[in-house]
Parts: sequence; structure tokens; C-alpha cells
Amino acid sequence: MNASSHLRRRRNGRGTAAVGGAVLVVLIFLALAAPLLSPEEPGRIAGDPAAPPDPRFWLGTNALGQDLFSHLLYGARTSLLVGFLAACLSTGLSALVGISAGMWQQGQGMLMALVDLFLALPQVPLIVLLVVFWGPGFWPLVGTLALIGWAAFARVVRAQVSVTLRREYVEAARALGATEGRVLRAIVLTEVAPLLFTKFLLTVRWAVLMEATLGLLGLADPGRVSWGLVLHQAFGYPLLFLTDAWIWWVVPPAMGIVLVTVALMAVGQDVDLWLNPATRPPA
Amino acid sequence: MRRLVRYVGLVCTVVLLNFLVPRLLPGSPAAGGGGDEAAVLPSAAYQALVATYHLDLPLQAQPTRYLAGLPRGDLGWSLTSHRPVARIVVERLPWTLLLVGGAVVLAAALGGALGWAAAWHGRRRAVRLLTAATVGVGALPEFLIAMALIVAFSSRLQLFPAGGATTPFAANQGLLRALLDVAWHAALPGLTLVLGFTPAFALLMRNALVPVLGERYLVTARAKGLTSRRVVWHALRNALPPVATLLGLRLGTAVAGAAVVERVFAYPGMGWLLYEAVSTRDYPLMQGVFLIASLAVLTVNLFLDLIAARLDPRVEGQA
Repeated sequence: MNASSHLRRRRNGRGTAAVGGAVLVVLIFLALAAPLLSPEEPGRIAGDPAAPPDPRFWLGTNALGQDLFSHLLYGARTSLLVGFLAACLSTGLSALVGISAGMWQQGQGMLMALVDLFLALPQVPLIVLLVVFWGPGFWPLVGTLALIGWAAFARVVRAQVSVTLRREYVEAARALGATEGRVLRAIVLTEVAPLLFTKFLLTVRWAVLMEATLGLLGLADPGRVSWGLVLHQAFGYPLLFLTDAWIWWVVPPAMGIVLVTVALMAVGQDVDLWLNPATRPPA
Repeated sequence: MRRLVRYVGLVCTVVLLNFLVPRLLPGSPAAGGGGDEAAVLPSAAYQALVATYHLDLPLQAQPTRYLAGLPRGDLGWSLTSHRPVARIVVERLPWTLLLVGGAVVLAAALGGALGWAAAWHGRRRAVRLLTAATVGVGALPEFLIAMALIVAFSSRLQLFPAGGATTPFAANQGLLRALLDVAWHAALPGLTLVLGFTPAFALLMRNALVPVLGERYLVTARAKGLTSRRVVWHALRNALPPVATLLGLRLGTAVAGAAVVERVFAYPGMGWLLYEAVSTRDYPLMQGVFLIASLAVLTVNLFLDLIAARLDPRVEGQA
């Protein structure tokens, strides 16, 4: 009974991860193929302003008369790219700082003070301040999100590294003459990799949500259509809730964000099970 | 004592950061967006910027002037409303404390109760459904919840206002009416925030309680014949430190306001102020919000550090 329920649970986990992965693949495909799939150029004023959906404009038009379906596809492109790049950079920073602090005893205090500083500041105002003074745009956005997102996980990485270094097989490896570089590559990186992957997935999710949040505050890159920019324009439209416009204007990008979030959660859980047997449910 | 030194250091860094960020990052507010071709600022705005950042002084004299102004509450001069930043912040702070602070406290109570139910009665179907619903709501972006509430309760049913914090002139109809009016306006944004904050509290409470439930001291407590209420308290006492920490952190960030929710509901708190400052590129105002919010978070963190040993005596040994 116990063994079978354990197996069933694992298979269920696989199932959700497969669905999550499939959703992600479809979203990424739609984002990549946006120029081919979009019926209109995102910047072109193609129809009447704020028109409801019709056979030509599947999701209606915005206040300028631009096609919202094209904006949804192009928005996925920008939002997912922001999420991906910010997550890559900030995961790299987490790894760099966390591993350095774990392996380099003298520098530990200084690096952890830096982490504390980033953790102690209120996130949204800090991001807003940096983006504004850096100048709203694609790279400032990515850079700021990367800069703000790394601190919490650097601490987790450091803890993992220092636990690992105290294990006996590390001592054995060192006794056999392994250099610091070898310990780093062969042991520390393997131990930390699953953590970093989890952090990457979490950060993609956070960055996509943050892009939308900054968009709502008017800080999306005005030169590129993103989900955040679509939301900003939607909430700036005075009749949004007096008509049904929110149904085709706000709900699709919002659903996009929810899909990304849920899909990443599903994938992350299963990857966690696979990479880290300790979190598997007991048989 | 060492902690105190650390916090003084952090406060200094925040102030320094606030001084340096506009000076280090590329792009200058005084150039109106950067580059030679940028729009020329109105001279009044330019004067306000010069006064705020002491640009008329040489670079080495600027930090002393900036620092000298801070203790006197001089956060600079707002470009758009032509008033001191500090005064604007003081006007907005109560609304945010009411809305976000109130929502955090409610969410902590609600989330705590849900988490306790999930840990204690985890096998009941209703509790399982409720837990799943909590996690589900936690995955939704705030603005989506806000929008759903506006559409349902404001546009369709017309039960609650879609924005604002008060009805004009409601204060003239007596204190009770005025208070009811404030609560009526805070209902939807407050509910959005409560829904947003609750899942974290519920999960934390559940995760803190579950490992405790198998502990022998609870069996002992039951065996001693304690009432079930006392047994529950034994377990809760252990879940208290993490939940109290989360509550404190959320209260600290509450001072920064809830930018998205306040923007969607046009609620005149710190978050809406930040949004206004961003959309009008009112740099001194933005920095004022950032400084106040950072100081609030640091103060709360210090307070949490100080009471940590009270909540969890085991901390004492580690410090």
C-alpha cells in the first residue's frame, strides 16, 4: 500500500511537470514565432481605437487602435525574454557570491554584509528608483531585476557550500591532493547545481511578475511591447471597467503571467524531486 | 550591541545610496531625459532640482549639505506639487498604514488560522480544499485579483467604490459616517491585499506546526490531561517565531505601500505616491519615498532582532 502510493505520487508529479513543461514550450514557441503569427505589426494603428474583438482583431484594439492579439504575442516575447535574462544574470550572481563566500573565509563577512544590505532594502521602491535613474528601457530593466534578485539565494548557496565543505569526502579528496579548483568544480558545483536551477525557475517567475508590476507603474520599456506595457495602457484607459474591455485587454496578458507562474511551479517541483532525492515523499 | 552597530551601518548605507544613485547612474533629471536634444525643463523645476540636489555647490560640499538637511526633515522639494517632499509623505503615510498595515494584520490572523487548521485537521476534505484554494490564490498576480473585485463588486453589483479613499465632504456628516466611508473605500483594496498576503502566512504556520505535531512533548501534554486548548497553545508557541518574523517584515514593507493595488484603486497612499512620482518623473519625491520606506524596514528588522530572543529562547545561544 505504502509503496504503491509512493509510486503513484511520483507519477503524479511527473504528470504535472510534463503539463507544465508543455505549457512552457508552447508559450516560448508563441513568443519566438510572434513576428510570423501576429496578424499586424504591433506598432501599426490598424483599426478603430478600443474596438471590441471581431474576426480581424481577435482581441480587439487598444486606445490607439493597435491590434491587441499581436500585442499579446509580442508581449510574451519581451516578458519571457526579460524573465529569462534577468534570471540568468541573477542566478549567476547568486552562484558567484554564494560560492565565493562559502569557499573564501576571509571575504565572507564582507560579502554577507552586501547580501544583508540588499535583503534589508524594500524591494519595489528600490527597483523603481534604479530603473528610473538608469532610464526606462529593456536593459536597465533586466539589469535592475538581476541586481535585486540575487541576494536571498546567495545566502542559501553559501550555506550549502559550507555544509558540503565540511563533509568527510571533501576532506578525503583534499587529503588525496585535490586542488581548490578541483574541489570547486567536481564537488561544490555538483552540490549547488540543483539549488541554482530551482533559483533560476523561481526568478524567471518573479521577473515576469515584476515586469508586469513595473509596467503597471509606468516603467515598462516604452519602445517594446511587453505584457507590462499592455497592462499599463489598459489601466490607463478610463473606460476599462465601464465597458467589457477588460475581458480582452487585461485578462489575456494576466492569464499569460498566471500560466508562466503555474507552469514553472509544476516543473520546479518535479525537478526538485528528481535532483534532490531527500525531498521525495517518504515511502 | 553588535547588531546595533550593524544597523547604524545599514542606515548610513541607505542614506549614501540615496545620495549616490542619482549622481552615479547615467541620465540626468536636470537634462530632462538625457542628451542634448532633450526637452528643456521649466526654470522653476530646474531651480527645485538644483535646490534638492545642491547642484549649485561643488561636488565635495554636496554630501554635507544633504546630510545636514536630513535630520531637519528636509527631503527635498517636489517638482510637481511645489511643496516639501516630507510634507507630502506625511500626508500619505496614514492612508498606507491604515490600508496595508490593516491588511497585513488581518492576513496574519486569517493565514495563521488557516495554517493551523491545515496542520491540525489536515485530513478533512474542507480543510484540504481550503488549503488548495489558498495556494491557488497565492499564484495569482495582485492586479488580477484587484481587477476581478472591481468588476464584480464595483462595476456589476455597484456595492463598493472602484477607487479613492473617501467620498468628498463625507467628513462633514459626523465622525461615524466619515469612518464608515473610509472603511467602505478601503474594503476592496484591503480585500485584495488580504488575499495576496494570506497564503504566505498560512503556509508558514502550517509548515511550522507540522513537524511539531509529532513531538513527544505534545503527547506528554495530552497524557497529563491538559485541555486541548492548552495542547494547541503548546504547539503554537513553537510556530510563533517564524510567523512573527514574517508579520514584522510585512509591516515594515507596508510603509512603502502597495504600489500595484494602490494604483489600480487610486488609493492615496505611499504606493500611489510612488506611482505619481514615477509618472511625473518627480525625482526628489521618489527618493523621499525610498528613504522613508528603507528606514521603516530597517527599524522593523532591528526591532525583530531585539525581540527574537524573547519569542524563541533558543536564539540566545546562537547570537
